[in-house]
Amino acid sequence: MNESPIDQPSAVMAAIRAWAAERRLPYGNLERWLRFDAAGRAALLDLARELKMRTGQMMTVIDLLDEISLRGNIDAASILAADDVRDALAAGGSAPARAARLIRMLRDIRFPRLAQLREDLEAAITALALPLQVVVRLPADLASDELVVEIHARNPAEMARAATAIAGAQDGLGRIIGRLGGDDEV
Amino acid sequence: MKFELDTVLIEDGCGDSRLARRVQARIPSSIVVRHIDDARAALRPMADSADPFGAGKRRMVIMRRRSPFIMACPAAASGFACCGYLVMALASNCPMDCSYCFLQEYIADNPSFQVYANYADCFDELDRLARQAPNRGFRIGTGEFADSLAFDSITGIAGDLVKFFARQPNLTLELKTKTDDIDGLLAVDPRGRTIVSWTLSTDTVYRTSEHRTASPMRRIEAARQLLDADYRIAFHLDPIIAYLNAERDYDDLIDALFAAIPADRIAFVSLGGLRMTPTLRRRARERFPNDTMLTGEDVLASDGRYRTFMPLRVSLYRRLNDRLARAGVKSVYLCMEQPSVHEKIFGAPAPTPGVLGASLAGAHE
Repeated sequence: MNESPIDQPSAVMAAIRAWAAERRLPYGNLERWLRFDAAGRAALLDLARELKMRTGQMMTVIDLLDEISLRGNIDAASILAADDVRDALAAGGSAPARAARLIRMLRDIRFPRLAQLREDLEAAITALALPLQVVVRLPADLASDELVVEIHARNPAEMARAATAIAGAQDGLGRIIGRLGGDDEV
Repeated sequence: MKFELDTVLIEDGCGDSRLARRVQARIPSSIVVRHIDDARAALRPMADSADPFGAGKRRMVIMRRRSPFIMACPAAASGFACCGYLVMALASNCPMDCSYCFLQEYIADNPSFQVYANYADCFDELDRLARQAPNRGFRIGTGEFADSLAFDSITGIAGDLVKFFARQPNLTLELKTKTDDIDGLLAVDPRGRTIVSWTLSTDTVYRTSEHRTASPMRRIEAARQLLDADYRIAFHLDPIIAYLNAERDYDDLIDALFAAIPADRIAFVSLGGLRMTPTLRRRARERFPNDTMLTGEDVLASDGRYRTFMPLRVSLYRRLNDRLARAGVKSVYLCMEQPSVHEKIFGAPAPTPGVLGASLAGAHE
């Protein structure tokens, strides 16, 4: 019987196990990491070290890589070598900021239609050119149909300006709420 | 019998029951039959199995049910728009193995396939229900915790139910299935009191996720046969799974359905999106790691379940509802959805469970 890849000894496997033990990575996540293609698991170890990833971040990255891999029939190494991912990592900043950017990029790949729609809706909100006193928030992960519109006012004049701006943007806000509620095909 | 069993366990006191006698007479001689004192211990997961839930499907336990048979649908208590369906628990678990099935979580602690030898006691409960509200129509089904027809060739329960409901003016039986095992039903006259409903999925979902079920086309063909035998028929497009190009596949499915069955002969269609608690999702992914249907664009919704993100889910509902309504299906409802989603799709607030339940019970009488 062939030996499972996760049972095979190698310097990379040993280093991954050591990283996981030190960070108390749950066994299920470690197992999936070790089941990635050889280049993918080594690339992820390099990233873990370079970005000083926390345990929770690594769990998320493994979940995302695993599911992107299944959805797209693509191996982990190819996902991590994609231009978008490399660009996100190369954009500079602190290690935690780069780790967070990596996760955001992987989420966009994992949820392509959601990412595209969110980008469209964010652009539509920006186009409303509302004053700073009005903040429009999309629901997290577009999981609900509720758009939050906040007014931040410190005096009656700011309040009036915000209310006027919202009234003027009513059609645009209505279209955004409609799209959140599935008015358009996604 | 189309499905395989390893063992049949019969609880003491149930050996002489009609159910136990029927099952023993109809199963192949290769299946081990054992008698046990108290079935409850035999319901537990088999610790030595790599897949205790899957192993439970192959062990039938004939036992006495110790609690009432009729209950409200579990979905009714969770603030969803509700169809007023009542559940009649005559069995638990299912020989088919759909990757998304909620039973993987719901009965994880007692996965053996239970069938209740005292099932005829449910007729007393039904009589009481019918007498308590003689002017109200009730729709009562056996397809919540088990498939209504999967083992009917050996249990023969469905035929007994159809005969009982045929005499009830205000009770409607719903038998829900993913099989095409309808021979037992063709032998009885439902007198308009039984709806047989099929969960319908696209061919892609069937091939990827609905293991050991009949194909969608065979389900539709079985429905056609029962329609000709004076059964009322209905369909559940549930779970709707929003994989890439699902829209096209659902269009094809609906085309195939209407090519076989006139829309105006369908009692109702329900729509429901894939929904999984985090625990169910984890278990399903462990049992079916290569199932792409479990890795759609599902996000954690406000009810604590993973669902397709709202705009995509609602746009799919709307598209399907529009097609069904245009074709002439008179009754469409949503299962386990928020009232606000119901309003978006149908343009009106959700009716109360009693009103919708009575309407579905009477659909196409």
